[in-house]
Amino acid sequence: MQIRLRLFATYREIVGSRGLTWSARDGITLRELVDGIVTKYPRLADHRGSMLLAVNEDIVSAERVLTDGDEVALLPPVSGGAR
Amino acid sequence: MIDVRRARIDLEAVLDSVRRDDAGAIVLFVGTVRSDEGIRALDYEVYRPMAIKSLTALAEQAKEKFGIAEMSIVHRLGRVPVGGDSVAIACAGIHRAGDVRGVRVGDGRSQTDRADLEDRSRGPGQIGPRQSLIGGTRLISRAPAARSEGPQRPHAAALIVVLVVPVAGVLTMFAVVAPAVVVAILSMMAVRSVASMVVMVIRVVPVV
Repeated sequence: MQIRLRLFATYREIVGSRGLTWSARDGITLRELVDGIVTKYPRLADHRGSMLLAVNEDIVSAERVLTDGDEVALLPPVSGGAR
Repeated sequence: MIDVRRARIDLEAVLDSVRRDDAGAIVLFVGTVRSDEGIRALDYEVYRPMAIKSLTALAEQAKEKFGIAEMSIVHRLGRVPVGGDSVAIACAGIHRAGDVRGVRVGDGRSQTDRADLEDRSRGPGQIGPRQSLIGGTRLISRAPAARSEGPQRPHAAALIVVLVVPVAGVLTMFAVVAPAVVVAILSMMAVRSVASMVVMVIRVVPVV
C-alpha cells in the first residue's frame, strides 16, 4: 500500500523533501513505518524519540495501524508557548 | 476569521471580522516577534490543514468556555522580523463585565480552570496534547565560529517555543476594559493547551 509522508522543518531538511510516497506492507503500524523511514534516513534517528506523529491531520499513537492512502506527518517536538 | 497567511496581518480587518451590533466590547491581542539576544526574525511554517482545524477548534472552545460572541485568529507564515506582528487574536463579547474566575485563569491563578480548558482542547480521537503545527525558524545572528556547534544538527541547535505572550502586561492593560473578553484570550494564551493548538516549533539557525 502507499502512504503519503509529510515532513517539516529539520526532518524536511534531512530527507530533502517536503513529502514523498512510501510503499509499505498492509497492516503496518505507524511505529513500524517510522522505523523504516529512520533506517533509510539515519540522521532522523536522533529525533526519533521526540517526533510527533500525525495521521490524516490528527496526532495519533505510534501503534496506529495504517491503511492505504493515509497521510502521515512527521512533526518536530513542540511545547510551551505561554511565557 | 481563522487563517494562516504569508501576508502582513491587517489588524483593522481582524477587528472588523468580529464586530457585531450586539457586542459590547472587542479586544485585540497582537503577538509580536521579540528581540531576544541575537534574534533578527522568526520564520514560520505550517501544516495548514491541521493548523486551521486546531485553531477553529480553539476558537469554538473559547466561545463556549467564556461566552465570547465572535473570535478571530490570524497567524503569519514565513519570515517575520523583530517587532513584526506574528499573530492577531480578536474577541468580541456581549458584555464588558468580566468573569472573575476567567480573570484568575488568565492571570495564572486558577489551575482548575486551566486544566478544564486544557482537557477540552483534546478532542476525541486525538492522542497527546499537541495538535497543530505552525513551525518556525528562529533566526539569530551569531559569530561564524559559533556555528560549528551541534554537528548533528547544524541548523537546529535548539528547539524553542515562541508563542510570545506577555500575559501579565496584557492583562494589566486590558483587564479594566473588558475582562471577560481579555480573560478569554489570556486564558487561552496562558494555558498550555494553547501552545498545543498553535504549535510553534522554532529552530535556532545561525545567520551570517
